[in-house]
Amino acid sequence: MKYRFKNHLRNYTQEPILKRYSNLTEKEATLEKLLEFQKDALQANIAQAYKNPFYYEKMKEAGVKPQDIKTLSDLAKLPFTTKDELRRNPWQLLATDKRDISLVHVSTGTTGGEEIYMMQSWRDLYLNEFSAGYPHLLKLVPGDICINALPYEMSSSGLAFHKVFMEISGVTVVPVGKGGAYSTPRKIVQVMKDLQPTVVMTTPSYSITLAEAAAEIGFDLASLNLKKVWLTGEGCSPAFRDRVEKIWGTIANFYYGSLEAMGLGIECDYHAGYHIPMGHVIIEIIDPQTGEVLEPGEIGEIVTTPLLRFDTPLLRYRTLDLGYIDPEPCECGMTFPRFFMRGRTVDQITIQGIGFSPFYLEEFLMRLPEVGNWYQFVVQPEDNENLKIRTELAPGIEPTPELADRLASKMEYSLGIPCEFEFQEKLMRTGAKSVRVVRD
Amino acid sequence: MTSRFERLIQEASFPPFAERTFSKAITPDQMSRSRIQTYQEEAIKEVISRAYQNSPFYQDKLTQAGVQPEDIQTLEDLEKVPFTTKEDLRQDPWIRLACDKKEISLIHVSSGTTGGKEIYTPHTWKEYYFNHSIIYPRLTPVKREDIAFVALPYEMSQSGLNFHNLFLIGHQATAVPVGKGGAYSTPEKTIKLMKNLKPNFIATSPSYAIHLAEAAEAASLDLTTLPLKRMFVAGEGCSNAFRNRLEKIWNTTVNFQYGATECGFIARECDLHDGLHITAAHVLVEIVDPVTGKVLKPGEIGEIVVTCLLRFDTPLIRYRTQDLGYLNPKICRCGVALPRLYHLGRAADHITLKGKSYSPYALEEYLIKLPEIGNWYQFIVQHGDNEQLTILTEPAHDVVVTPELIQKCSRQLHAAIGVSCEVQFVEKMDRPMIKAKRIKYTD
Repeated sequence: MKYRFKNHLRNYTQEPILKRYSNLTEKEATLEKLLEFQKDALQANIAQAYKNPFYYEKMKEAGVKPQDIKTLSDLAKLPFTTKDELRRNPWQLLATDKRDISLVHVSTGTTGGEEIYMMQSWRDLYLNEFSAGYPHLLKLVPGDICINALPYEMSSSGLAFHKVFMEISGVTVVPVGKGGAYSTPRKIVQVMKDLQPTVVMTTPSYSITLAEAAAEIGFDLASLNLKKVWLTGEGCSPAFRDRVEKIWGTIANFYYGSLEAMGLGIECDYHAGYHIPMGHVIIEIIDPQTGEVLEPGEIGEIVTTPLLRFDTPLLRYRTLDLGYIDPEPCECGMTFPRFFMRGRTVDQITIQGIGFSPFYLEEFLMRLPEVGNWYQFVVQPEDNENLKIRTELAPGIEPTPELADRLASKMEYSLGIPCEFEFQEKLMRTGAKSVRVVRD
Repeated sequence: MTSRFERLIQEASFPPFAERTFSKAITPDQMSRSRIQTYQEEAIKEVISRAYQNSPFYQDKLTQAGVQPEDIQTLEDLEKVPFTTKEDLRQDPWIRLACDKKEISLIHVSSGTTGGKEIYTPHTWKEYYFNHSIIYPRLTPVKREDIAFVALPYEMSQSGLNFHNLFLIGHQATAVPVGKGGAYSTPEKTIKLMKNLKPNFIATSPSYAIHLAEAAEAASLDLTTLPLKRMFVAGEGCSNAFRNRLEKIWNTTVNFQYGATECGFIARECDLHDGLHITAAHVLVEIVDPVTGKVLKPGEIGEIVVTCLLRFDTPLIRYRTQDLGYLNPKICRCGVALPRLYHLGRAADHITLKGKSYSPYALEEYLIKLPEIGNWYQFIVQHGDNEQLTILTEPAHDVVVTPELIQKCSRQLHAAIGVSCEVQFVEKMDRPMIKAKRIKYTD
């Protein structure tokens, strides 16, 4: 009986192409080698996708056959997959039998609409992995204690990192979660105090919530001597990150991922864009209007093709996130291309006809020391005459009309658009993703 | 080449006594009583000797009690070993370590419902894995083609992740981690997922099963159309009458699973609902007198004491759970020879009425049997003795509250319990997302 699980996995074989790359050391995983891997993995994914009625139809309509994809640049021949298509049917991406599915996740619903279901088969979850990993970026070693303060339920973020910690990196994970029946910020702070973790994984806004809970009991987070805080789930500006680093007394790096495409980008300590985990995903930047693939450096919509989900393949998925690719080697020594995020298309704020990323606006806001860590941009979906900022003030700062005027003119000077401040003693802290843009 | 995960499971070796017992197709719920006993005896010797060797905490404890590992030869000898209390575990998060700290893969944190400092429960990867590899398919008949929803908290305590891995690692079924509360989990969303994915099994708590049923009603989902094979309820206890309501609402068999973060699963019900079968490959259960610590005879009510049999890296020996119960050694009619435990709830939650102590589940049983009573209620009492029992409750659906009804319910409960009862109806009770608060203290 003890072999049941082992025997069960024997029903499945690792995707054959992975065998050719499974002995790669980090050193051998050169850019050239990875591009070769991406091409092979892409072809294997397309062959699988062709078994799935949804993709079969899509490819037929586009007049593309699996054998037409010979190089990575042929990827552009394939049609896109949109969020709306994934919303039609929970089993939309299935390219295997239903009983081969081990785990089902569901979208958080922040973009609205019907749920998007994402599944992993037994072989994708337990057997199909890219061996080289990114030890240079993750730097996790046995003995590290990782506080996983991400939601474990519904979406994949908490459980995905849980698995990375337990089974890929072999470190200790403490599943404290984010919200939930037993998880409170106060309790997480107590757990950190007791266990002295080396790594914390959470979202930018929740890192502030935890810091506030620590302050309430007079606990200095910097005394933890953390090696790193990993931020994911939401974006934020460099200025906000600086605040997080100061409060936690350690370096904070971003890990960009999504339910649909999993790991998409990992920051190195130089904070110079996201290193693309090329063993896991192909990233393209396209013109959101024409769908054309853009050149490096041009800003457009991020389109992802995850490479290790052979039984529920996802081809050219439009993330609605904006960014650009920089192919230059990074100062950290890595030669993989990087991409830079520019927020989500749906979150763009238009003021006097100019589109702004909320993170760009946040950057200037967070540079003002009088401004607290919780704020909202109050805007209309269409064009706005000015930018209304509703915010808490930093501890000890008095809300006065003069201060509002002064901050508004500082923002206007930086942004070139009129701004208006409204101070609030306390804004709502949400357990879900923080709401930074409020549509009036 | 294999994946890291495959390498991990290949490297995970079982202790010899477990290897001998479980290398064949036999599962613990197919074993005879004598075989279970032999297994437990071998296990206990191994547990004690390895704890003595590798755990400073247990070495001290055993030395202080003047016990050497060789003194433990039979299950009766276990009585010589001192207890482990919640207070012991609260001293130091790492107190249970009998291995290198680096070996620890996962740490759970107690839910804190009993109050006091957090209790930490560390696991090494290989022990976590083999604890999940040994299963009881006659009690948990989950097949690989089944879809299993886990509507329990995943964070901090063990409950969600334990069921998650029971389904995935143990039974190779499809798991849907819907959770309970948390950033993205609402009853409404969970119901939507049920509608779309059509689960065969649900693991949740009794009160959350009502939350979900209410959300289903609001969404006009008829729960009886789901292809459910069983619902497993854990985390909170409840009465049979409450369970009967759940079975009716969900149109499926509802079985209890009893466990604790510190020691994992302890016992689970079969479909006959006559006590919970102890998951005896994983734990040894004793019932002791809470005051004297003496081991009690089958049938006598006392504190449930648990020894983990498959944990050597983070052993737990004679752990006092502060829960009350009694054992029934008679073989169950279902044919499973695992001894049965009757779980009576936490000692701290027992209510004293006119000098007599009652399990809240026993009182709930009388209350919920009355069809006019809704699914949300609270006993309003004080610590210590109570002259009467006050019950704050919602009326059942479409029940009109009249003075006659109040009188009738109060009188019926008085007759059943033997203590004067006062029923107070309110239109809507609070619905906490954490464990349901069934007892409210006025002092």
